[in-house]
This record gives sequence, structure tokens and C-alpha cells, in this order.
Amino acid sequence: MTTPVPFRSFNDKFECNDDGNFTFSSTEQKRIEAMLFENYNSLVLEPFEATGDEDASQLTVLRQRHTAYLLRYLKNCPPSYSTLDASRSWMCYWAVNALKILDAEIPKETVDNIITFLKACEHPDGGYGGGPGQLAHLAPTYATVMCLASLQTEEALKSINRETLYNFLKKSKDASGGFAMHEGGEVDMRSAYCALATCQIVGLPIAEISEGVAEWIISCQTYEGGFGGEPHTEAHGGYTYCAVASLVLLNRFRLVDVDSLLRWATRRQMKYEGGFQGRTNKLVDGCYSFWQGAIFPLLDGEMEREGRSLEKGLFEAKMLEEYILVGCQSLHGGFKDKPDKPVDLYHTCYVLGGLSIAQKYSMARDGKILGGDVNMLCEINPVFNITVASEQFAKEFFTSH
Amino acid sequence: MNEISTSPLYKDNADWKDVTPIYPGKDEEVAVKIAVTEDFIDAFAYFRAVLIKKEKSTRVMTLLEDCIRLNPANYTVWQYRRLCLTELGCDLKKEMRYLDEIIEESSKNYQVWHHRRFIVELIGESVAQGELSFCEKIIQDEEKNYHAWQHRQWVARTFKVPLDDELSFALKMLLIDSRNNSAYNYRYFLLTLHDKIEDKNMIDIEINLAKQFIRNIPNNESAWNYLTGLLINDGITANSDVVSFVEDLYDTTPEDKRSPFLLAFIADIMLENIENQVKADESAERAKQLYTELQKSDPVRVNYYKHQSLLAQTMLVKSQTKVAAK
Repeated sequence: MTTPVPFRSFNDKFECNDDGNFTFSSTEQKRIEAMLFENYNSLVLEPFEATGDEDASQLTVLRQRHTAYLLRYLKNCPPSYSTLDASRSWMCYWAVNALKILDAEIPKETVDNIITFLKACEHPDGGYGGGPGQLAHLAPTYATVMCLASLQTEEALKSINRETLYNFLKKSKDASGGFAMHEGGEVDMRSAYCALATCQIVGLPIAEISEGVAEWIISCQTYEGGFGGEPHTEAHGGYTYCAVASLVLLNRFRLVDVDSLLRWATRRQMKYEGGFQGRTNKLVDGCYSFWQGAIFPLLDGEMEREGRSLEKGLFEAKMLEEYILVGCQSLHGGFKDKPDKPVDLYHTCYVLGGLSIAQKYSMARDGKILGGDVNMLCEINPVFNITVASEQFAKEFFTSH
Repeated sequence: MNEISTSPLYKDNADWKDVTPIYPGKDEEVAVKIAVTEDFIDAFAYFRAVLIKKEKSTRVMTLLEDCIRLNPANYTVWQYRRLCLTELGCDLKKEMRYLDEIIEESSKNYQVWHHRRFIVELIGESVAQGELSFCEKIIQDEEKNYHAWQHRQWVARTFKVPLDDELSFALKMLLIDSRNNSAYNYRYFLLTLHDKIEDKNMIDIEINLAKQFIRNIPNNESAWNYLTGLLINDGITANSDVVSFVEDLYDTTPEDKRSPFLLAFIADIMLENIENQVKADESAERAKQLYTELQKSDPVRVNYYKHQSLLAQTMLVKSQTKVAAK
């Protein structure tokens, strides 16, 4: 063998060290590492050994397959999606955002159908439900508005009733400073983020719904440095993203204990797999490529504004690319949590978002991305998780309307 | 002739003849149409009609149960169920038993746990013990179930459950899997809830526990994070016992076997020393040396360690300026 394959993930030197003391957590960890090595072996090592050509690795983003998968699901979904019947507006967002990140063309007829469908999810009193005839709920409201922004047409954005939407946002405000997901619904970190991001993207004044929310959010930062879903609960990738993005939106990021957040966030990247876990001592999952990965560009932006020195992107972008293309991509289209899991719209959206972030850092660092330029995805705005082009389109639209 | 229907569908049920079901319109099926079963379409069409009629009755409660069985994540159904329960004055204990079953089947769903909180709040303290047992059952099955730990926190807080019982529970879970981060977080929550974060005796007990877990498994990040958390208020260097514990661990572990968490923890001590102007030069030197070691032994975080190394230097310069200013 002349030169070794220049991969940094899947190196046996960094396999789980259980200190001779196994528990359920460490046994599971080892099982996942072995599973990923198999993928690495068949996708990277074997082709390389056969040809001696490092480009032989089968690590191309299968754009056509993913596009076909997403467009198919935008029309029809199998019975296994029945438990997502109250998240259909989410499904539209996941698929459309993924398509936009892939820079895929969405047929005009599909665009029209999505607008029609989402209009049917709009509640007469404002906000959107997860499906037609359902109560307005902050999470599908966020998803719908981001989906409509991502379609990048005037018609899509015109379909939003901003007046009733604003009423709904104001009505969701809770005495704690946080937001209730829906009438009689739970108050947690997701609802705060969904309310604030929605408000901002459609150009409504955020100050009127902001009272006490930054303080509520900061009370959820834990001793580990990440954020939980409500005060004192365990630090978690999804909630930490929601917290950090919300504080950025509120321009209150300086409330954060940055040192512990940075330590916690960098430690979530797995030393063997290269992907991220959601919590300490849990398993890697492709969706955290976005939830954890997006924390870094948000941090970069804040540090820059405060004039604090911070090398850009304190995680290992190349290793994240490796995890995603070796462990999360299905040859039949779509992305997944890890190799033994099925693909779904949710993971396809968040894995692609994470890959886009990683690519941007890799490009800045050494001018190349894993799998070559053909793999290049569109850039996303880490505050909203829509493409930069979509965010700019929405901003222009709402400034002039 | 009108025979008694054997069809389980609502549309064939004589008791529901007075209700006109609302089926999905054309606009509602032009995108992300899910291939749901016939009984799914049927039950939800009647649910939509009921929602508009605002009917609250025993037959509606049964319909809601069918809808929940078909999709336990439908928050609109659960919300309507709460309205019905309150208005009809249903037996809440019975609702709890029903929820036990549903949660055991879909333990990772937000709606079921939110509904549970609502019911427990209505019944009050008498169910506190039952709630703890229920959480334990779910946690035994899935040791890191976020919702179950969160619910347990809420129960402990709402009903002022005795600290010792809860500490024992968390310890039990840690003895089953000392890498279970949810259990450490729960212990930390208990200390906060009972105002023990500044209680020296209590904190010493917890520090000893963390030290034991670290001794057994030096690569267990959860135990290290817990130790760091316990020392947030006064700083690590205020506790000479912890400082000598980690230095000792460093000295007695062969170089290539030292866990990155150990090295990073000592580096944190060095940063604190610089801040407190205790042997600032020496401490900065050692911090940088530790971060260099970490770049090799834990390369996935190489950028972070470089950043920390720079931070040590910046802090040193600042501390020297302070000294000069005096």
C-alpha cells in the first residue's frame, strides 16, 4: 500500500475505551462503532485497495436519488407515516428545505400544491396546525412559514396571514416568559425558538413577544454547558440549538456562559465516528449534524460581533462529512440516523443541513470538500435553517410588503 | 332490512347516525398525502365533526381513544380530551391507568407526557408515589428516556418528594450504568431543588461519589462533568482535595493511558490559577502543554484545544497587566 486513505474518522486508535468496565452504554457504543467500520470498509477501504485510487470511494452525494425520494414523498407517503399525520406541515418543510439545500428544481405544480395544502393547515384564528382542521401549534407554524419562505415565490409568502399569525404568537406567550406550544400545550425550549424565528422571518416586531424569554432560556443552561428543554433538565443538542439561535435572534447571547457551552458542544463530536451525539454518553445520530453543528456558525457570529478571538468552527468539519457520507446516506435516496436505521424526511433534512455547514468550514479551511466539488450543497442560514437564498428572498419580500 | 352492523367503522354505526363526518377535502390531499388505513380516515372524519359540534360525551371519549390508538401524537385530540375530561367530570384515576398503557407504548411522545402532567395536577399529591413508580418503570426500560426523567423532576418539585428517596433512586440507576448522564443530571437537579449547592457537607458527599466513579472509569465523561458542575460556585482550586485527587490520578496513570477528561480538567485548574494570579507563568505554561497533549490524544477536538491554548496565553497577558497596574 502506498498512501493510506486520508480519513480521520473510523481510526481504531479512537475506539471506545471502556476502562475494562462495561455497561449498557459502552456495549451499545462498541456495537455502533463496529457497524460503522463495516460501512467504512465497503465504501472506502475496499474500493481503495482494489484500485489504489482514493477517488474511487463511493462518497458522492446521490442528488438524483435524494431529489426523487423527496419529490415522491411530497406527493405520497406510506402508511408508516400515519403517526406523522399531525406533522404534515413539518413534512413539507423537511422535504422542501432538503431539496433547496440540494439545489434541486421543484416543479411548479408541486410548489402550487404545497402552498394550497399549507393554506388548508392555517387556523382561522391564526398560526398553522400540523394538518388541516387541527389546532394551531407553534412547531408546525414555524415549519410552515420556513417552508413557504423556502419556496421563494411571492405567492407562497402572500399566502401567510400575518395579522392573525401575530395574534397567535402573542396568545402563545406564557407567564414564565416562555411560550405554550398551543392552547393548553407544553412550554419548552422548542416553543420559544419556533415563536421567535417565525416572528423574525415574516418581519413582525419581535420585541412585543420577547419579555422575559431570554431570562427563561438562560435558566435552562445546565452545569454541563448545554441547554435542557426546561429549567434543570439534561443538556441536549436540539434544545441547545433552539436556545442559542433564540438568544441570537433576541440579541441577548451575552447572557450565555460561553466557556462551558463551548466545552460541551465540542465534546459532543464523536472521536471515532466523526458525527455528533445529542447528549453526553449517548450514541451518534445524523440529525445532530445540524442541531450541534449549527451551534458553531452561531457562536462564530456572536464572537465576531463581540470582538472576541475565536478560530472559526471549533469542531472537525471533515470528520462530520465523513460520518455523514459513510454512515447516513442511503443508496436508494434519503438520509438516516445511522446505518441500521431507515431513512426518513426528518433525518434527510437535518443531515443535509449539517453537511452544508461542514462543507462551508472545510472549504474555508483547505479549499476542498469530501467527495469533490460535485458534492457541494447550498449554504444555509444557521439561525432559521433555511437556505441563505430563501432567507434573503423572505427578507426582501417582507421589507417591501 | 336494517341489521345490526358488524363493521367497526363509525360510518356504519347506528349510534353515530346523527353526525356528518368531515372527510379530507381535495386541497388537503394535494401534498404529503399519507396512505392511512380506512379506520384511520373514518375515526378522524368523525373527530373533525365532533370538534366543530363541540360535543362532549361518553361516545366522544371512546372516539378519542380510537383516534389516540391510531395516532398518539395528535395534539388536537389530546387537547380536546382534556376539555371533555374536565367538563364530563370523568374518573381521573381511570384516565391515569389508560395513560399508563399508552405511555408504555409511545414513551417518546410529547403529548402523552404533557397530558399526564395535566391529570396529575388535577388529582394532586395522592398520586405522587405512584408517579415515581411509573417513571421508574419507564426508566428501567429506557434508562435515558428524556421525558420520563423530566416528568420525575416535575413530580419531585411539585410534590416536594423527600430528597433522600430521590438520591437513592438516582444512585440505583448509576449503579446499573454509571455512564447514564440523565442520572447525574437528576442528582444535580435535586441539589438545586433542595438548596444544597452551597451546602459543604452535601457537596463533599457528591464530590466523593464523582471521584469514585472516575476512579472506576476514568474515561466516563458524565462523572467528570458532574464533578465540574459541583465546583462551579467556588472554583476547582478552592477544593484542595479535588486538586490533589486529579494530580494523583495524573501521576499514577501511564502517559498513554490518561483520559482526555483528566487532562482537560487539570488544564481548567491551570486557567483558574492564571485568573487568580497563582503562579501565573508556570500555570500558563502547563496549560499550554496539556492542550498540546490533548491535540494528539483527542484530535477530533484539535481546534478547540488550540483555542483554549490561546486563551491561556491571553489570560496570562491580562493577569500580568493587572500586576503591573498595581
